[in-house]
Amino acid sequence: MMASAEQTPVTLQHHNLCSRAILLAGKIRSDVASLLESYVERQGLDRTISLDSVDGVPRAAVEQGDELTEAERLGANLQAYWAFQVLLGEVLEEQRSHLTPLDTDFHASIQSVLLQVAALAYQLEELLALLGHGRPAWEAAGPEDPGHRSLFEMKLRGLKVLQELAHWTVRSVRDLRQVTKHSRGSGTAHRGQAQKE
Amino acid sequence: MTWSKLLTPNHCRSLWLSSSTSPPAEESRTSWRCCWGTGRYTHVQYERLGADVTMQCGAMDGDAAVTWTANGTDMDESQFNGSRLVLRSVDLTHSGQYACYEGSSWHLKYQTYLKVGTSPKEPVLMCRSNNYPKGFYCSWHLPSPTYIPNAFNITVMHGPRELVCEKDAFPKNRCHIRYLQLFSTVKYKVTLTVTNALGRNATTITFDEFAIVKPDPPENVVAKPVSNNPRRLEVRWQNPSSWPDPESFPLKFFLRYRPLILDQWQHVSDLSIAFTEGQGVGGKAGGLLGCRGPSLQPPPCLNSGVWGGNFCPPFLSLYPAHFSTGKQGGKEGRGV
Repeated sequence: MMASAEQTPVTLQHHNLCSRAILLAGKIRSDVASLLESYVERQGLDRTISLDSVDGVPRAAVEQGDELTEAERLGANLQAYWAFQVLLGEVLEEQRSHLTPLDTDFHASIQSVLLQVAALAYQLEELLALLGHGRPAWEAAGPEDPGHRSLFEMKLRGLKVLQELAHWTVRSVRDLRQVTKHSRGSGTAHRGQAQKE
Repeated sequence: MTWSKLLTPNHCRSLWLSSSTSPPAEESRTSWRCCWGTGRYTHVQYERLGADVTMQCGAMDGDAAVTWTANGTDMDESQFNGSRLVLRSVDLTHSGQYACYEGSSWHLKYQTYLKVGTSPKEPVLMCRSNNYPKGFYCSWHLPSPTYIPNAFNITVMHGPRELVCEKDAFPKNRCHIRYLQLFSTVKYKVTLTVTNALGRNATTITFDEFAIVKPDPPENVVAKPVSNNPRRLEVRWQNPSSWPDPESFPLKFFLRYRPLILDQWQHVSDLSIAFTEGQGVGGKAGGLLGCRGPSLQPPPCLNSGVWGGNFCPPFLSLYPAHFSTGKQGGKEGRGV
């Protein structure tokens, strides 16, 4: 009859997951910003170097005003972070094997970001499942033959990976907040409906 | 192109518009301008500061007797070379109306308005987004005046795409661009060209989408003593109204305070302030005098805004920073 004004357990869990994912995205953003500084220094690169030639890195850019559904938003984010898990793994391997073989601290920084990205991907998977959306298809980018990549190309690719990841985390915070906002609206509607009954 | 005595004001107008679109060159430092309704036309001549200027008295012979006036006052013949007027090493005081009259008949033979100036130096250009993710604006100025009219042209490129920069009615040295994409790693390239009758200059800046984000100061900043607790101060503020989407892009605020007897600001880490006695700040708001202007003192942060809260009492200021994922900030902020 009289419905409780409290949120449903699912909504609460959803909000908790979103909040945790937002915090983690922010943490990744902060760590990647630091990592970018040390990356360009160690690789001897200029931050303004053109990376247009680097392919195979998920781009965070969206057209202004593009309205995505909740499933599309979360799905796009999840696909990106799946890809970044692979890409960061390749970057780490290239640093260890070819570019900075003795710099174990640097490798640890990359590893830390990789683990956080994996955790964020897992949280997004949980969120999608909780909201009743299916997992997006995993499209492996089909990495180029690393043997054909020059040292300079490895450096550029690593920079591109970190730059796009940094932008993705900002987008993710925005996307997750949008999802939270919409679910708050849905939650209000549900409560109103319940009170009428 | 040349002017003829048969030209009418209508011809004046079309020819002036045509000449104003051509790029300035040494031989086209002059332009014509019409005085509407009078049927007369005035010749405007631009010359560089420090240059030597020679003016011909229309079609008069080189040795004809003439009188030159400057702003209606007869000029000394020592500056004449026959019928020509010679001005050496012109400065800004030489700017003005010059006219030449035939010696005996006092018929006006030639008239010009001389404007002394300089070609433009490299302009100063900056771009900023205080309303992310809507768009950004670019503004510019010249580091030193040219003393003659300048025209500015700005182009904004995002990769291969050229964006429209809509000029503000006021101030005139600013225009706005709307973001067509968000979260792009492709850099923006803005080129500003300044042109006047004596030359041209340009500058280009390149930046990342996030690098220019800089929120406006917080609004309605108010500090009040806490009743029954003179050692505490309650500060309230609001998001800048120009920030369009604080839910998706929350702002984080930094607060600093300074007892009047000290020069050093102290930053509040958890937005909790407690004053101790002996620092010259008590619970009496009336004891606080004077105002201090805001200053930019951001700790390391992704994008920092401007210190706001330039109010009395003056010992507090707040500024917002962007891309917070913490719980601070929000629509209305409060610290005690």
